[in-house]
Amino acid sequence: MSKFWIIASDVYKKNVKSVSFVVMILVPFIVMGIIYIAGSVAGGFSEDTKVGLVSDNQELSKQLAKSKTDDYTFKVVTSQKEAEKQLKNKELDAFLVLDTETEQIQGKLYAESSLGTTTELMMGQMLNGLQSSLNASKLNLTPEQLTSLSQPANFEKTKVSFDEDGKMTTGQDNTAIQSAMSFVITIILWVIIITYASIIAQEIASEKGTRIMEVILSSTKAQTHFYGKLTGVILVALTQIVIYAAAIGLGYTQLKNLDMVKGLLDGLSSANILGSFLYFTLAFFVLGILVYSVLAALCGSLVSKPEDTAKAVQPIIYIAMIGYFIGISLGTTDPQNIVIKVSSYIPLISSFIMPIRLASETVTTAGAMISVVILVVFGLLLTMFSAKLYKSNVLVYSEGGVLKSLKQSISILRNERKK
Amino acid sequence: MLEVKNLVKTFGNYTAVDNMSFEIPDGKILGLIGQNGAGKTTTFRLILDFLTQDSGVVLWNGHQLSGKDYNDIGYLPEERGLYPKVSIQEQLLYFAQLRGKSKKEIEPKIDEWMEKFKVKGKKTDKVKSLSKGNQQKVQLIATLIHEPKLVILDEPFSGLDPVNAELLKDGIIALKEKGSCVIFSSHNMDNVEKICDHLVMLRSGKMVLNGKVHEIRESFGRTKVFLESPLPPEDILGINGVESAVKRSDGVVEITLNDPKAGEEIFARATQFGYIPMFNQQPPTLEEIFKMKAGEPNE
Repeated sequence: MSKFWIIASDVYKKNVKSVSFVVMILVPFIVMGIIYIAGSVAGGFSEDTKVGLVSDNQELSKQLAKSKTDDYTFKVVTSQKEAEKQLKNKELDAFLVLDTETEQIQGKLYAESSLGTTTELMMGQMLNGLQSSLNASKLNLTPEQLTSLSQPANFEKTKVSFDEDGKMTTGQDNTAIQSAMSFVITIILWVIIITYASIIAQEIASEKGTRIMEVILSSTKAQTHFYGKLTGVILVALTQIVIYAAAIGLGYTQLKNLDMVKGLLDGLSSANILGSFLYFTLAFFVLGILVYSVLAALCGSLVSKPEDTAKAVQPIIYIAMIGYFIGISLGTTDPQNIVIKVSSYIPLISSFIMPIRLASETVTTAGAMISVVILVVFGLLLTMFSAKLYKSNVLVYSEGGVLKSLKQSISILRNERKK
Repeated sequence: MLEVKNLVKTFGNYTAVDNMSFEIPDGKILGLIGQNGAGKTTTFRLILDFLTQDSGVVLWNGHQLSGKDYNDIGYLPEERGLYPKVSIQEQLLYFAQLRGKSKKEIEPKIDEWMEKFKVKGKKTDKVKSLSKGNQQKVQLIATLIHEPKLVILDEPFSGLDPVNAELLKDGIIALKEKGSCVIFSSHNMDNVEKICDHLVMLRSGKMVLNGKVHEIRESFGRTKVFLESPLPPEDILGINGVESAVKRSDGVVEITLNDPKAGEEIFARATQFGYIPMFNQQPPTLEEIFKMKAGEPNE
């Protein structure tokens, strides 16, 4: 076994066997389990909300009391005073005072605590309905006339493109499903980057901090060690991705017949999501992980003590955060914004932004290609630079910050090169 | 055989190593002494190719040290460190593998080495559970278990008690007997004096001493006399060539001479009434030489 693989496999085994890795793998499953249990249990336990109804209009009150919803039931109460008493005694969860004397229906809900937005929304709608029918009867409208009044307009959007002859063709609009996918992917990318940036920086900083690095540098080339470490951690990330992919695959075969999943899959017909959008998005995803790993390794090699790792990873997190937030905020509200256009070509943040631009189809394939090339070139240069700097980095024990260490090791590197 | 020829290394305006030359034949031990900041660690880093010299060469068996030689090196850095959460065995195996040894080769040797250095604990114990001294011994084992041909030890004795220091000395001598080149730095002159074949002393990157231990001492002349006799110190001070004479609490008078020849006169006077229990004329100890040289102003 070459020294490269000894280092890579050592890093891999150490991390995969660690408790934190197992926990990290299990967390999404545990969270999903909790959501599932909470959802199914909550339905069974939640009680009907009892709302007292105080109204001068007896007929209306009786009518409303009969109409039951899943969320709440009305109970007719004779007076506001009586309702207050019952609310105090917890016989009621809330009471509604309905005033229909004027032309405008007035409803006032009294409750000690919120009944939840759904219930409140439904009550508002119910009152709107009452108002409409009241208005209709006043204007002597037939029910048909009322329906036609509340008929909404029809609004459709059609995606168009122009072919070589300048002829306009309409196409299927996939942007919604693509947007959803690009969001999911950037969130996963964000989580993976913040997790693995710390792991890789920690891995290197701890060896430097414990001075093991000097022993290692006398056993193998600095570059071999750097690439070995990097490969080890990337293999760990790959393991995690494979485990999740397997879980999704397994889940799919088990659950594909459930109605909810079926409905979801109908929207996700493979033709929709396959094609250049998916390939480019995956390219940005994978390249993003690689480039951020290199950056984390570089930052990790700049600190003197393992305790300072968090400090070293901070700039990386900030960069990723900038990309992530530009992507999710401007990406949907204003995809043509100049900031998002420019930033989708800047390496490190392009991984977050370009997939979202691709999803909204505001960038051409050529544009995406250019951005990928920029990212690849940047990644290669960063990797070579980091590996070169690594040897001098690990001998610098500066008390200053990351930038100061960087300056110092660059000057050492220059010094060494001259000779 | 390690040869260092006219090695120079500067950091900016600061010369860390100034024209250093020495050689260590196979099976010999070289001690590198000097105050903090004298350039010892820089010298080691130059030999190991962590740093590139401004001029001069380091030759290992006649060629420049390269990737192929990594497996023959055993290096103990001055600042000690091991993976705290890993067991002794895994640790030793990992380092040995990085020196090109297979697990099979090293695994059976671990017990033997732990016995040799009297490491307290099982090989499955995690390093962080060991005492500092035991951790240091584990690191020494990691440095030596692959039987390196070129052994570089930066302050190997610091932090070891006299018993453990003795174990380490035995270990170093065993390596020498197997034909390895050993170079180590130390503040403890006693250790240097006992095990070194050759000695180099550095001051501000310059070699101020270079040679065999006893030759270096003799070159200073036998300027120390330890005398136990009826002769009072006041009388001794009157003799030509005596710089100082101080009576120690144990009754021995410690005399420093400007001229070693004065010893004859002292001997004659001290023995004029017959038998005396002690007359011992010595060159200065390494420690005294060290202090003397370290205190000299820079030229």
